[in-house]
Amino acid sequence: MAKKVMTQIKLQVEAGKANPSPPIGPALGQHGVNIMDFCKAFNAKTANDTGSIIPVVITVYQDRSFSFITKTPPASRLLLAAAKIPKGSGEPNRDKVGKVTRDQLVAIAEQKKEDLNASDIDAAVKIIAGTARSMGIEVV
Amino acid sequence: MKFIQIKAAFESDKIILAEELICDIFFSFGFKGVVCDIPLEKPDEGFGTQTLSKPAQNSISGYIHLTGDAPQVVKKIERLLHGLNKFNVKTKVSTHIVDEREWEEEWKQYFNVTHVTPNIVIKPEWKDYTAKNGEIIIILDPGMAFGTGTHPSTCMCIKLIERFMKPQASFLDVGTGSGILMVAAAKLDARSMLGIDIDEIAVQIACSNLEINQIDPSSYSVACTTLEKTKPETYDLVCANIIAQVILTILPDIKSRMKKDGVVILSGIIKEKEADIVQALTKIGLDIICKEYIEEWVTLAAQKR
Repeated sequence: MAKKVMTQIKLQVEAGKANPSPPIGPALGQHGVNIMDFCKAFNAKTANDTGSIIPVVITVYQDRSFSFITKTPPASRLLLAAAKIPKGSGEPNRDKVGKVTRDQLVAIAEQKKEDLNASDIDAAVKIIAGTARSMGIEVV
Repeated sequence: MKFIQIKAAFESDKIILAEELICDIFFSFGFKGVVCDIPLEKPDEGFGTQTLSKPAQNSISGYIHLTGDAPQVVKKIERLLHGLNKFNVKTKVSTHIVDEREWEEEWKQYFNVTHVTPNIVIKPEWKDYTAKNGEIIIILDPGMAFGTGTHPSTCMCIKLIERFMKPQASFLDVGTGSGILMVAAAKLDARSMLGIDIDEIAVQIACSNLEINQIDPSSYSVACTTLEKTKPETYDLVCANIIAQVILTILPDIKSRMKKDGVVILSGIIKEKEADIVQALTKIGLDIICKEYIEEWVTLAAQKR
């Protein structure tokens, strides 16, 4: 059924663990979306990615029904996993906390290409490299 | 239970990078999720023409429980966010205390008892309503599925089902969603019904709504499938409340499921697509017998002679 779109909401939440607590509850509740049903559907869809952070864009229609699409995990999370470190540097210019190879960057860029709106893979790699630098992760 | 909303408004030439960096700071403190209030891509084509406005200010928000050490956590986050200045990401942090009661039941307030026609009333499962003389009540919990009964497309479908349903007729619902049209058809004396949807969740919700409305289980079936995969049976009344683009592709299959003199109700059509549907109906040899309009939506009924 065609519907008039009222708003779109973007969240980043843990895969398979959505619940009515913040941020989901207030973000969806204020627009009249059935919170529990979103949680059930999101968890069902992302159950295989437990442990990852998943960006999700929820489209809310004028009759308060909704649809959603999930995106690839944030580049920062993929970089942490590639560098095998728990968190980025608080002083990224001074304290380097990890390393990733150019091949790893390309792999992440390939995974994120659609979500980054990058014109080509080189542009996507540049965005990912920028994120790595700002987290104190060296590209070797 | 109360929470502190920590909102990091930001300015940056590189929105995606800024979003990544700010979110990463929240997640490094164990946050389970954040809200990203940033410009988003346009909604899928065919889902309406309304243009969504960009947020007045880009921001990322996270929430923590309102406990004794919460102010210290806020300060630590604020300090790290301030450190993003060196990447030309300028942030400004604000906090706001929220109570979970503010959103717990909030969405339900938007679903009210709706008179779709003078005789048909849609009642959310959690609201009270006493039927007046002769009124047909459709009890509904739409959940995740399309079809809340408040949308013009659904209202017009129910109105036309009421007009064209003959006693003990057979009914096919293509894209059944919440099952609301099947419930309406059953209460208008349909003898046998088939509802199909490509969404498994919708199928479950449709079954649940049919059960809530005490529709005889032997009178219907609901399946997660597409029209061309269903048994080649024919029906007195067919309803397809989907979107115009989909209707155009399945119209030959719809015609093949209609009995002679059977009627099809086509809905979910935005006005700008009306001409395409009319042309397709003419080409395929179905006679348009009725048009209904509400706001930017059109519903057509056509008959197989």
